[in-house]
Amino acid sequence: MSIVSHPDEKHPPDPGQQELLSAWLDGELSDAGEVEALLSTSPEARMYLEQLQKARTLYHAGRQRVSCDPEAMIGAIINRVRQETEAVEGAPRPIPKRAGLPWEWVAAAAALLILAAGGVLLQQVRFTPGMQRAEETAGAGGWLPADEKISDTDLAAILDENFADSTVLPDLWENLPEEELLQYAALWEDETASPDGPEDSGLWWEQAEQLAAFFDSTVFGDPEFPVPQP
Amino acid sequence: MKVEPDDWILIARAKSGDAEAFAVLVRRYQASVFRFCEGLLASREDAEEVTQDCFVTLYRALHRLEPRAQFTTLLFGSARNLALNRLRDRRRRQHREQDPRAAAATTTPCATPDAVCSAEELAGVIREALDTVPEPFRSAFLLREEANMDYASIAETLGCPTGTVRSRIARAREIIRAKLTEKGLLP
Repeated sequence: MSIVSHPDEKHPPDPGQQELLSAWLDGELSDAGEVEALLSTSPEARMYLEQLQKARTLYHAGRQRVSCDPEAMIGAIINRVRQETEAVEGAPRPIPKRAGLPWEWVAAAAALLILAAGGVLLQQVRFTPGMQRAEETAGAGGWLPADEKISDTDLAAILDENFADSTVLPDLWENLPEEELLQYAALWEDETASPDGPEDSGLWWEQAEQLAAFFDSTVFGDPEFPVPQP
Repeated sequence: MKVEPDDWILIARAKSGDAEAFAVLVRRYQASVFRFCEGLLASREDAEEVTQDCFVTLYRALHRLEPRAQFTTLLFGSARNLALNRLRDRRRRQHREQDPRAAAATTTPCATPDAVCSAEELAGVIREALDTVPEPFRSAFLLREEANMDYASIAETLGCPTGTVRSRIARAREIIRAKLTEKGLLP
């Protein structure tokens, strides 16, 4: 590779003069007097300016090929924006924790509803917290038949309100006895009664609505949903 | 003669849900943002992705934008940040690998004084010359040449005094001039 030396390369303009000429090239000098004086007295400066102008021309000629398909780019950007917009608008909101609602209250409400419907002996229900209560109730031969009780894992998912990560709800709807569904319906009813309205969308909210409907129809004595007898 | 709406008018329309106004902004600036990013990244693919990221980021930030500064300083400032982040990530990944672009750069022709380069060869030489310009000189130079910004806008974009912009651009030009001279493309 041969390196070309310009006759004036040995005495190029100093950095200050290079700055001046570069700024002049960009039209950034309000007073051209200084650069005009330099150009009139320095052939090196004139040569340097000429090289800068040619370098700029070459630069833009060499960069002509640097381009993207504008319509493809615009389409990709608009598409991504649209996807983000739709994702934000259609995103299912997370199911909130039912802050501060004691399990005993929910259990009591469920039990009272069952009692009001005319079929359940309250004394069979032992109010102990969470899973222990359910397990003990089932084990005591109450209204959770022992042979149909749900697994600890599934029960934990429900008690933790970890519905989104659980596959248990469809199974509940399909397999559990109606009286047990009543209990969970009471839980769902509590969710739907929230002033914030339904907090989920899609399958899980649909299931909750079904349970709530079941709950409501039972309360109002819909014969389609007979209340189980003890 | 059709008068194009001001950038901030388009921003205001986009904020109120006018998707076409946002599309006009994208059309107006996507080419220069892409070329600016390509100049920093030396990669078409990365530049395309960063350009997309830049406009998507702009869209996300629409509600926070107020017409206090030139829109282009915000846009290119964001593009530069994204591009430099991408560059940093890429360099981390390539830490122990040889960059194929660096190897290719040593084989660029046009080494005789009277050489007449093909467009492809010229593009290679310019790429090579640009790659020898370090940051932050390169950003200042690219904002001038690709975004056609004046020095005051570049200073605002880079967060430095106008005098610094002037010296950075001059330095970048000198590096490129020397490289083109070395390649025989300048007398």
